[in-house]
Amino acid sequence: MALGSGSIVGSYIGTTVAEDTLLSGSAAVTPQDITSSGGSLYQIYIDNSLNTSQQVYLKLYQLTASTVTSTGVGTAPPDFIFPCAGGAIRQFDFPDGLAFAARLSMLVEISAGTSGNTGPTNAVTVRISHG
Amino acid sequence: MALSMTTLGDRFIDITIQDTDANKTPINDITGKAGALYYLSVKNEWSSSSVYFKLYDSTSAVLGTTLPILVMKVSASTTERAVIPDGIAYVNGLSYCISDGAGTGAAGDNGPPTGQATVRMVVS
Repeated sequence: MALGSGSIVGSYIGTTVAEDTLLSGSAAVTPQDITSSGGSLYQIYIDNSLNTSQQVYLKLYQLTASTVTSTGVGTAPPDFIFPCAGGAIRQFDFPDGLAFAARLSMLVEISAGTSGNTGPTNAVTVRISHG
Repeated sequence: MALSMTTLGDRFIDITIQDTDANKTPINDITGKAGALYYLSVKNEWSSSSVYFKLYDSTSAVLGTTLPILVMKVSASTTERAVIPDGIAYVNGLSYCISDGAGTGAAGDNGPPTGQATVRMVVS
C-alpha cells in the first residue's frame, strides 16, 4: 500500500489525484480514505496488467475506511464498483463528474458485488481524480 | 419497461440501448451475446432516493443474489454518465437493474417508481 495524492488544475478533470501502486494481498483489501468531504469523481484508472488471470474490482464506499473496517470488508455495501479484467488496463471517464457525498474510501478486491475479502495476487495500480 | 435497441451500422458495430422505465427487476441478456460496455448514462428522476445501477455478466441475474460487476450510485434527481474507452467486457450476457440498495443489494430493495429511471448504454 502506497497511497499518495497531488493537486491538479481544472474543474472538469478534478483537482486532486489519488494514486496507489501497491495494491495486492491484504493491503489491497485494507480500506483507505481518499477524501473526507463530498465531491465528484472525474477519472478512474485501473492497471491490472500484472494479474493476467484475475479480474479485479475497485470498490468505493461513502464511508470512512475505519467504518468499512468495523462493518467488515465483504459486508459493507460499496456505493461504486468498477471492474478491470485480468491483464488489462481500464479507464473510466465521468465527463460531468460522478457525485459522492461526504467522504470516500477505497479498496481492491477479486470478487464482484458486496462480498469478498481477498486482494489480487500481484500489485494493481489505481489512480482516481476527484474534486 | 420501455426498452429499445438500435444496431448501428457495420462501421461502428455498436448497439445503443435505452430503457426509460428501468427498475429493480433485472433485464437479462439484452443483447443475447458477449460484448463490451462503452458508455453508460443513468437518469434518476426519483426525487426521494438515490439509486444504484447494477450491471451483471449473467444471462439470468437476480437482485440480491447475483453479484454485479459494476455498481454506480446516482443521487436523487440526478443524471450520471460514464465513458469507458476500452470497454468493460462481459462474456456471459449483459443484464442490469436499478434499486435503492448499494452493492449487491437485496431482493427486498425498492426500485424507482414507474418511468423515473432511464438507462442508456452503448455496447458492442
